Amino acid sequence: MERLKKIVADTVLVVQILIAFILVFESYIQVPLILQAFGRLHPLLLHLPIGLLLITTVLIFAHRYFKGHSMDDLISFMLHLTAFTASFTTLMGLLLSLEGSFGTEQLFLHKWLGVALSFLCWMLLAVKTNAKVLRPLSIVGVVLLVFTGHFGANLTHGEDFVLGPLQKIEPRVRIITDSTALFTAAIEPILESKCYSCHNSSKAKGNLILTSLDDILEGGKNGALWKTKDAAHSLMMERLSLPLEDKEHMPPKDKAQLTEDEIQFISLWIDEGTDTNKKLNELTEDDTLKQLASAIISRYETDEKNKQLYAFKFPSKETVTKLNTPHRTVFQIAGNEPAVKADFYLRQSYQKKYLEELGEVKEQLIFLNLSNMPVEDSDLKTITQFKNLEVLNLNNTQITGKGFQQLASLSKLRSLSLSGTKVSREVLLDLKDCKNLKEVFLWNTGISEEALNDLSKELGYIYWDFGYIPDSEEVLKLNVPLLKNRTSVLNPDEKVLLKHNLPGTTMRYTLDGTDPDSIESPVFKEPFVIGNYALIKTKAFKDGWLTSDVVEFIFFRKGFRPDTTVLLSVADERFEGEGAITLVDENKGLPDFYRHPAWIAFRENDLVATFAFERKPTIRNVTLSYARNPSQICLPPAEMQVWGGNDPERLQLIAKVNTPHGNGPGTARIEGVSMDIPPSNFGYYKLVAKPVRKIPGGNPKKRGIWLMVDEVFFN
Amino acid sequence: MKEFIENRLHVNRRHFLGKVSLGLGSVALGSLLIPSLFNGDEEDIASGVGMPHFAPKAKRVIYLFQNGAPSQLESFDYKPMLNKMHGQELPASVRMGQRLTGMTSGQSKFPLVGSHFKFQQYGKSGAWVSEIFPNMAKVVDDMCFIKSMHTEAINHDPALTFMQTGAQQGNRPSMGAWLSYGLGSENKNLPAYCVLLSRGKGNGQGVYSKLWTNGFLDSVHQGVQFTSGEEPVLYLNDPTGSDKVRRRKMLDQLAELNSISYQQFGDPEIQTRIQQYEMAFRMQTAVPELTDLSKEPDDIVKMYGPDCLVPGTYAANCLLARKLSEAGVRFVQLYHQGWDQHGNLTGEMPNQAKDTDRASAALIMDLKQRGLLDDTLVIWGGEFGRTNYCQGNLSEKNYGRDHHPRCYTICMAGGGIKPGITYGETDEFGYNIVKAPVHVNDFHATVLNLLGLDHEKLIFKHLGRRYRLTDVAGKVVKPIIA
Repeated sequence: MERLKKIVADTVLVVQILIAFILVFESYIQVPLILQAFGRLHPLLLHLPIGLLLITTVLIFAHRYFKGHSMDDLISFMLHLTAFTASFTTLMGLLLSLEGSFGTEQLFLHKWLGVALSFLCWMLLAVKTNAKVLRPLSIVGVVLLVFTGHFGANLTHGEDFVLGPLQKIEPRVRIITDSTALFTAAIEPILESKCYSCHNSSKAKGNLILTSLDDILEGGKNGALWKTKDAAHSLMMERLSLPLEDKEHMPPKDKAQLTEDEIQFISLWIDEGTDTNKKLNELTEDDTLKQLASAIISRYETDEKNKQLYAFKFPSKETVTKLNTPHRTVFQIAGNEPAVKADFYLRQSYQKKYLEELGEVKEQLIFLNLSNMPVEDSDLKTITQFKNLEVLNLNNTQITGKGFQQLASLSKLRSLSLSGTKVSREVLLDLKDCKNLKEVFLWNTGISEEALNDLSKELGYIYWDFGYIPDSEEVLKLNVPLLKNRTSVLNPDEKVLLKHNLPGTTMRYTLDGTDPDSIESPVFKEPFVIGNYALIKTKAFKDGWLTSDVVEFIFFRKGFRPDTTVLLSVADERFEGEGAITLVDENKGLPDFYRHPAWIAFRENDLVATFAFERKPTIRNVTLSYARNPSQICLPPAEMQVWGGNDPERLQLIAKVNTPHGNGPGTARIEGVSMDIPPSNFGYYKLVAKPVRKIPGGNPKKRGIWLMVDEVFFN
Repeated sequence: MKEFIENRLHVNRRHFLGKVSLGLGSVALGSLLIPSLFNGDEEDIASGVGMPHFAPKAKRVIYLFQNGAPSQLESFDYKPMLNKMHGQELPASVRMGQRLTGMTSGQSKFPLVGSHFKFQQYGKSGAWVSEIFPNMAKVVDDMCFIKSMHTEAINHDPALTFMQTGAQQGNRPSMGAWLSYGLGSENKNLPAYCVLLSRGKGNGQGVYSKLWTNGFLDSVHQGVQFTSGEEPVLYLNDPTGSDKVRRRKMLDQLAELNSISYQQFGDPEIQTRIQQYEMAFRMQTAVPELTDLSKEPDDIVKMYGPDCLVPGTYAANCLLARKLSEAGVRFVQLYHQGWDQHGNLTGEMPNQAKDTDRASAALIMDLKQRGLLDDTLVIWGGEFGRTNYCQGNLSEKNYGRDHHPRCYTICMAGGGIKPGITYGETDEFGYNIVKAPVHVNDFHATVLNLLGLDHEKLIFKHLGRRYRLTDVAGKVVKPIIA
């Protein structure tokens, strides 16, 4: 046993010397392939000394609970095992580190701590079983072990491997604007997605770190990455363009490769001078570099959540909430953007201070909509404090443009809307100092065509939008006059009110059923009174427009409502309405839809009904409202009689009219037969209306003709 | 018992934490360990509520829905081959046995029919437009035509519902409701989602309120339908004898009562109701400002056509849509009925076009001249396409076309859409898509993307599962985004 221990102790010593040798001549050593494989066993073997050292330390401290010498022997045996495995682990680790594929800082700490630990293990052999020395030394060993292990694990598993799940992952946000450097916008994302995993500060294969510009410029163990303006002889291009099978090809063949345009882009960038500060906006749109860059930028921007356009500070939630009122809304343009837009609403309640209060977000405000607000030229000063403003909408405001020079300080302003304002050519020329201004909207400003041409000539880089200019050749037909009265049944004092929404339109009308003309027919000026029944035809006239079509409105006058109505004849079973009450319920039907309680119809039978008035008002007129519909064959009654008296059994005929059914319009409409009767105040009236039984020329469908009634009016 | 149920249904997280004292200790501990654990805002942002996910290209949408499905073959998808083969049988190799509607499945013949209307190329982009859309032809350089739209539904109602809600069955929130949910209201004095209806003279199909429903979202997100009369919003005036001050007082008292019952029951609909009352109060000033046509110059009338002065017409709705959009309404939905030309196509379609063409083009020009087109997305289109073969009798002067879900054309303008382009392609028979198909889900994903929303992140959990407008599909059509 002692002999074995001796052999082990000596082996450990030899290995320690070997370790020291390697440490000294590290950079001169070329590791043979067979030893490389041996070195790669390091991550396997290292678990042995860890376990052994911990157990041995426990045994050292637990010594007194056990009896006899065998305990000393056991500890000694364990110490030998520990030292033996530790030294070999260290040796293998050193061999592995010579492969040079690991990061610097972590490796440095791991290496030297590991060497120290293996040396300590050898020392433990030397002190034998002296408890006073063994105890503190073993504790030092455990502490060393913890740190060595920690840094070692960082190398293989990466930093924050254990705590990773507890940490909030902040997605890397790359803000790309026009003024972002080409390098940051297009090259970094390529490196990040395809190179960082092996070339970072903790795992710098080939001693090359690509995560920061300084490290990139420093290059790796094979030298600098590129020769400026000479892509063909740049190391980076060489590695990228080697055949995939080549060991030197980068990225290694089992990793994600750069696409063709990415390689082309990097090559071109090197050829054009590797300017790491060159900004996107310094390149013209037709520059190949820019075109390639745009494709690459959009490729790496696929996750839109991480795409941020604005770099300024986020406004506080309280400020934004406070600024929101029913008259003014202030929003962040998106959850991940600090930029803010503000809109104003309700002209009536606008106050100057509402605009001034936006000073709280003056840095973030990029979009301001003041359209239709009573904003004046003096407010421009307030607006100029919004340094990052990009879009300004001043449509239909009181702005005349005095002081537009001030807008030059808004260096980001690109869109200005002035439609419906009183700006002039002169003030618009003041916009020449707005360097970023791209579009100005000038519709409905009264600016003359020549002035427009001037502007387009003098400030051609701005798109001047003059909007819709009507074609002077095109003459449009006016729409027909509208009716303001809500129903066709007028209340006793109600007047007829026509309306046309286009200002300056003349409406002429007739009451005799003829089409109005432009000379003799009366002009509608104010609401007018009609009798108990009227057919109004009207049309609209305006200079520069074709006269409108004729439109007709038919009116009835709401009169005395009978207290009792009795139907003495039988209505057609298909259109019974609600019986007698249908005649006086003030419910008018639609002209072409008769299966409705508003309508009651007669064909074989006459309409015969009595109406009782308890208060006996003076009645001068009886009007029957019926439907005329050529396709359904509904016509006015052929004959209508009104009977009156105070005894329902003995009524006398007081008026009678034969109505020629004549020719109505081609479409369905509701008309009336209005009968003036000698003024009377009877208690009872009877109405008889006879449907047309025959039409000259024959009834095409031999079915008879409908008398379709919806109401009877007594005035 | 009722109280019990209401509590169970509506107590939300905050309520729960606020009310239940048991276990409060552990909650406190939890928030100590992870400070952001109960930070509601973070959760809101994660679920995409109230703010775009990324910088948006469009802020508002105006959707000019041509209800009934206008024929792509008589509008924007020019197929000279059909004129060449007019009257000949649809080759079986083109149809490939794909399904037909019940309306033509009984037909023994499927004669191809070419457009009765002449086509011509317009603008710098050289887009083909038929002669019945002379005004839209003038703005083709602002528009993007998607000729490869396709849908799954073959009948109007499911197809319309699919276009509007991303599902054929109904009861899902419509696109406008999702946007209102995702982005909130821009102008707090008006609803975020307004609906305007009009009816053409052609064969019509119904529209129902389910198309602008909030579905399972809060009812604040529901589309608000304006009436087609003189007053788009009824009862805005205070009743006689009542004034603003009194109205204000009444609402304050009412809100107080409502707050009490909210504290008791936690029903979010109560909060919605309070907010709606407040908005209605502010609408009393906001709406008259909007509907006042007297401030519109004559040129506007010429632009949209004089019909825009007649309430309830498509032209008037387009003009109102511009005003609503200008006033910050997030989503304005128009429906124009009458595009279902199963027969008498040559008679009806020119009238339909006449009613809509001028105003549609005017809306785009009008937005543009105010600098608003950049951030307003205008969409024009129907729910599916129409067949390349004739339905019913093919006479010399007239024909009809049946429903065709396999390809149709919609167009978009503004709001971050590439102007003056055509995307996708159909075969020379106008029957199948040969290039870059765009599914309804893709269309929705693209619209959301333009508004700064990731369609995969705009979600709402309902009945135990997460819902999206695009449900489990949808790809953003990147090539049409500027």
